[in-house]
Amino acid sequence: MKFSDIIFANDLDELKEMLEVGKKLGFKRFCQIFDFKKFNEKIEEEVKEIGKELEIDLCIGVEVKTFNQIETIRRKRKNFEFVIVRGGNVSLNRKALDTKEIDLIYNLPTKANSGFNHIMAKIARKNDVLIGINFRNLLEKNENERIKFIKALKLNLKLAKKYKAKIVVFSGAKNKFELKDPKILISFLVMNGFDLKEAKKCISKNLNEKIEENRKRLSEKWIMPGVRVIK
Amino acid sequence: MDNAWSKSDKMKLKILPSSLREKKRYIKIEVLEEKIDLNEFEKKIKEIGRKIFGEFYFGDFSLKFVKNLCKNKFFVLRCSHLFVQHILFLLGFIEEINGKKIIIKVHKISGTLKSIKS
Repeated sequence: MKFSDIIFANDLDELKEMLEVGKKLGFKRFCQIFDFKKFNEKIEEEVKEIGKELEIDLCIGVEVKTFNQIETIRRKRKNFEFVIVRGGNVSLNRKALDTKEIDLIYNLPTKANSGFNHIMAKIARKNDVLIGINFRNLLEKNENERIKFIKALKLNLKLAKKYKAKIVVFSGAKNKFELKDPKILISFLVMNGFDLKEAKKCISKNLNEKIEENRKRLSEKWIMPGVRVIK
Repeated sequence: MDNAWSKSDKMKLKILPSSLREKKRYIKIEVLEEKIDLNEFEKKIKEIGRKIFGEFYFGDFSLKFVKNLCKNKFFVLRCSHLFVQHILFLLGFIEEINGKKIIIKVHKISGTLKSIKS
């Protein structure tokens, strides 16, 4: 099975180390996320070279945090391979889910509630936006916050499962020590009532399909959904 | 005079039939980057297990280390077959032991020691 993970390496040396360790852990594909403001073409080329050097499938994405940035992404979507949104308040979550150009949204729970409801789950399914769960968020919280966070996550998972929105669980590592074994990520979903088969899909197929579709769209041969130049 | 309790202490319990015994699973893990002590690792797992699942629930896991198979960076854990995923989830919370940062790789989950050894 082709396991994939989403990571947030701060610099290129760290990224190299992470990819080497990730290979040992059994990951076949990584999606490196940069901040939207810091991202440029020079970084993109350097990261791609690292991917080729280590012979690992490396996708490059950007992280968006505000309304304005979502609007900018909408206009310039063809410049980016993968776009994720860091949620955190209900209106931003809703805006991200309403935007078809967004690939994934994570950090849904707010301080007051789970930041996600049945209506949003239906929209996520309709617009094919992935619901992300960052394992790092779980570890960084203190005890009291973690209790609320886990409760909110459980509700979100339940809704996403019921309305068939696609879920992705990732380590969200910033250095090599924060990487997690795929089996550990799977276990989190199994404990929340998912089958082993379903849980494995959330680490592999859901993310892989999205990345491959994006790559097809970015190629010159792509015209519109269902239409592409063959010869 | 001996009381009833001290008499019963001398009696041996009959071994449970295999169908009534708890089913076990063995988990083989490797600690990447740093070499760590078995006792420290065991202490850390139990500490985190109690913190996350609570003492009442953690007892059901029947977590033990197979000490004769724990060599170098490899460790073998034994637990109830119902709580394998709980143990794996628990391993996700271990990032450092006594200041040494570690990465945990899960090699194999099996029902017999024979296949773990191979």
